[in-house]
Amino acid sequence: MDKQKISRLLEYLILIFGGILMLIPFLWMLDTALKSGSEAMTIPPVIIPKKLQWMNFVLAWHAAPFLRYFINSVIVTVITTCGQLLTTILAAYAFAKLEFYGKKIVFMICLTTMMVPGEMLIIPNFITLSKFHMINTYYALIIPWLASFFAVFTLRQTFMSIPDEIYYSAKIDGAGDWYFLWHMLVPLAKPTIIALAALEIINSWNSFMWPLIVTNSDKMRTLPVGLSNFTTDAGTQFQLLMAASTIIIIPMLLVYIFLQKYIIAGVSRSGLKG
Amino acid sequence: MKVRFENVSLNYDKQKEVLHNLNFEIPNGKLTCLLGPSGCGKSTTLNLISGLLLPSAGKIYFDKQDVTKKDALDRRVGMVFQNYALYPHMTVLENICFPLKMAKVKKKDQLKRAQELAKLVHISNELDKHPGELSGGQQQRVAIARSLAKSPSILLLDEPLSNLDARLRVEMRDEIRKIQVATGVTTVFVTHDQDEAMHIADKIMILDTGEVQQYTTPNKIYDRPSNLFVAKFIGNPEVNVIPLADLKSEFASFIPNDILKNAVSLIVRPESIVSADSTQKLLPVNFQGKLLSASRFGKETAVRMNFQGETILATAILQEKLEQKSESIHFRLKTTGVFLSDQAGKIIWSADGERIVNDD
Amino acid sequence: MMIKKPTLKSTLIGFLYLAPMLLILLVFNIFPILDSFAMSFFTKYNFYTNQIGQIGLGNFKTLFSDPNFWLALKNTLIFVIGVVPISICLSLGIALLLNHIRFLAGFFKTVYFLPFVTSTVAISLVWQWIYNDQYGLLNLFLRHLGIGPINWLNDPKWAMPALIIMTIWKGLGFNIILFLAGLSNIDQRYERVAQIDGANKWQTFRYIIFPLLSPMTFLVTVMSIISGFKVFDEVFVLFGGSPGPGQATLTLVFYLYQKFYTEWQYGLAAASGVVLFFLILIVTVINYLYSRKHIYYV
Repeated sequence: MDKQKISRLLEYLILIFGGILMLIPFLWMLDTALKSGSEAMTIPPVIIPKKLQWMNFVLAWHAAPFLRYFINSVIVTVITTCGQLLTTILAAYAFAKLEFYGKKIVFMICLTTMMVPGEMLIIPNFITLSKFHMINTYYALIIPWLASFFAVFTLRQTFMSIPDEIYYSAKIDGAGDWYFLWHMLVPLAKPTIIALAALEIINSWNSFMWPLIVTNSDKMRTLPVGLSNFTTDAGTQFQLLMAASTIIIIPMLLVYIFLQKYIIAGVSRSGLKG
Repeated sequence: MKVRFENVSLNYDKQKEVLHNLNFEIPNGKLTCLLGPSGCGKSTTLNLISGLLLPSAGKIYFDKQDVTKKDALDRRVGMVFQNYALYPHMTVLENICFPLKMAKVKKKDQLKRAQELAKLVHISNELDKHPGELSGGQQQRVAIARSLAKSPSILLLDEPLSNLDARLRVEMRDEIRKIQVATGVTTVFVTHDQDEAMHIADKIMILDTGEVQQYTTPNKIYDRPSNLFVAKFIGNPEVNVIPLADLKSEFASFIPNDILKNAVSLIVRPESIVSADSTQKLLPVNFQGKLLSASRFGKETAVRMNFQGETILATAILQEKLEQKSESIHFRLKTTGVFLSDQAGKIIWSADGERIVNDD
Repeated sequence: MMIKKPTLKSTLIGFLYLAPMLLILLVFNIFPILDSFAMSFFTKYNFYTNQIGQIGLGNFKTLFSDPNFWLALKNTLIFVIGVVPISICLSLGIALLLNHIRFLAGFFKTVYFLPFVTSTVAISLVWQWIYNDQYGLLNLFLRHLGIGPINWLNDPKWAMPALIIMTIWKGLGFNIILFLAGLSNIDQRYERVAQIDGANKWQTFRYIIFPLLSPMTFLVTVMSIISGFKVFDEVFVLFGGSPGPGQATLTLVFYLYQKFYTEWQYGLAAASGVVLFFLILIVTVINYLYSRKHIYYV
């Protein structure tokens, strides 16, 4: 074997080793989720369970109001993502293609908000929402996230990369601004929009600190908060905890598998513009 | 459709005027070129015709109708952009149909019209493709078809050939001419390429620094440029510009004194400089220059010589003649392509004018 | 219209398009920023009645004399120093390898990025289980190496390393993707020219690739530092809602959460938020100044 082949082999070995390290937590989670209670708590740990305990998923699902959490998570994720896309598309269009007084200053103000850590906003936002009696409602979970300037900024870049001549052509051909936005710009910016949507779905689904703070009953809790709460009930029943974790992780895994191309391109782009 | 500009000016933000007081008329059914270097205001003028820009002052008429305040849609213009501006997410057919769809034309009629146009521009076989799958020339054809779809009152082409390679540019140039003749649509064509303009246009308007320099037929522009800028801009290689001060006596015999006293530069096209023994119609003056270099490019010989301290270029002196001679060249000037300009650059005398006497 | 200058009408239309985003941003981002600053100066504040008892630097005085605050600050810095360099080196190395191979590169990318899309809560639970001192996978593995069981989550000495390891694991994929984007932006011809000029692989990396990649390295560093400052979810779940054994993993945001949510000390919580803001501001400004001076942009 020549030197080049050996180094190539070495490269793959390193990558495979790293890949296994990345996957082990997921495999260990699944493995535990399929063990019986006593198998999970043996020393040394059993690697392959005698019988696959699929029932663990059902048990975990019923051990806490996971159906309710699940529905809440879906509602919050769907509405947040759709709403945020709508506000983003409109604002990005204004910043990219319209001329108006105050555009620069408004843009700069919005840009500075990107620098502020979200954690700092939690207290005043909590107070605002409690003044409107919105704590422990969907409103509290959704409304603050209906706009993201990061998304606006990203989509604006994409919109600006679409040549103005297309806009003029559409004008001459008889399409108005509104038609142009939804039938030309939006289809042309589809990859960016899908990436933004996917990232927002993931963000929203996995979000923890905010839902933790603004919900105080099972009725309103989302999956991550519910799961975190469940740990106290489940105690040392790790097979159930792992089954519940799997249930939370799988939907985003599907989103990731189907939209991987867009998500990775979106993350890459966010790095390149920075 | 005739287009008329009346005292049209344009300025952005009150700072600088981009166009100053334009007055002209674009003839119906003809192909008119707006020609000039970049930044001369030709694209801006085109956008004023299209209605994508509105003038700061003045009036624009389409035939008798005042369209100054009307937008592009109301003016019913068709426009082709340098980058074609095809809708990338639509097929060729959808692109061509789009203006008709917006005008709520019946689907069946849309298709019929689109197929007609596709045939006219020779893209009938590409209708189901997306613009990204087409070559530059094909995209250009689609753009033209789309701009013609709604039978525009006027067709506007903004540097339509700039993105094509040299050979294709000539092919598409002739193609555009053919389509224009076939449809008879009034066409305005913006370009910075004088050769393109000379080949394609019925009339050429030369613009510089936001003003019309000259507006007439291609040959007139070449034969009778109105000022130094036009003389320099049109023709390749560029004209020779020679200070006249020390030569005035040579010209005194055949140029009226009132003209000669205002003239400051002698302008000579390279092909108007010939050997002293030429049998063509010549001006009654003899000159002598010092040969610097001579090189042949195919059918042409470029002779560079020093004359009155200036390096001048001649392309009509034959190679054979040079070899016989020593370093110094005797040459004369033809009765075409020789002009005098005044202090302001205005051309005040042309050798092919009636007052020129040929005494050879 | 090819509008080159705004008009009153176009301004109205522009703001109509902006309105939905602007409204949310104003209420939930811009106003709260100002409010946080204001609140950090309210020493006696009842938010239900909106009564401000006193205005002053009291909160900051209390904050700076609270040993827990300094502990949180120290822990946060240790956490950032523990995570960022290792994460950068590992992800840069893997990105270089991934950039070099063709076969299965996409698959590896998917695998390495996987943790990024998973719920922090769920995966922190999994790690809690991996770190379990009796039944955990990690101790099982260490036992085979002859290393005695480590009480990862209950020993103040090991709690922070446990948090760091998990954070590196989770963030690796994101950094790899950014590095890959940076690498794909570097013209491969540079590499070839360098090889023709006689540079070996290491020299090519050291003198060509690494300098050209420096803007991205810097960006990744800054983003990692900022997200390190904000760590919370991982701590909360890994240590069951506590700031770790003996407060070993009490971080700045966890401190803010405690003051705000369990102790109801709004002014103090707001003040610690302001401190967080300035920390991030400092990093951003250093980033800006440094990158203007030292980074070679292609």
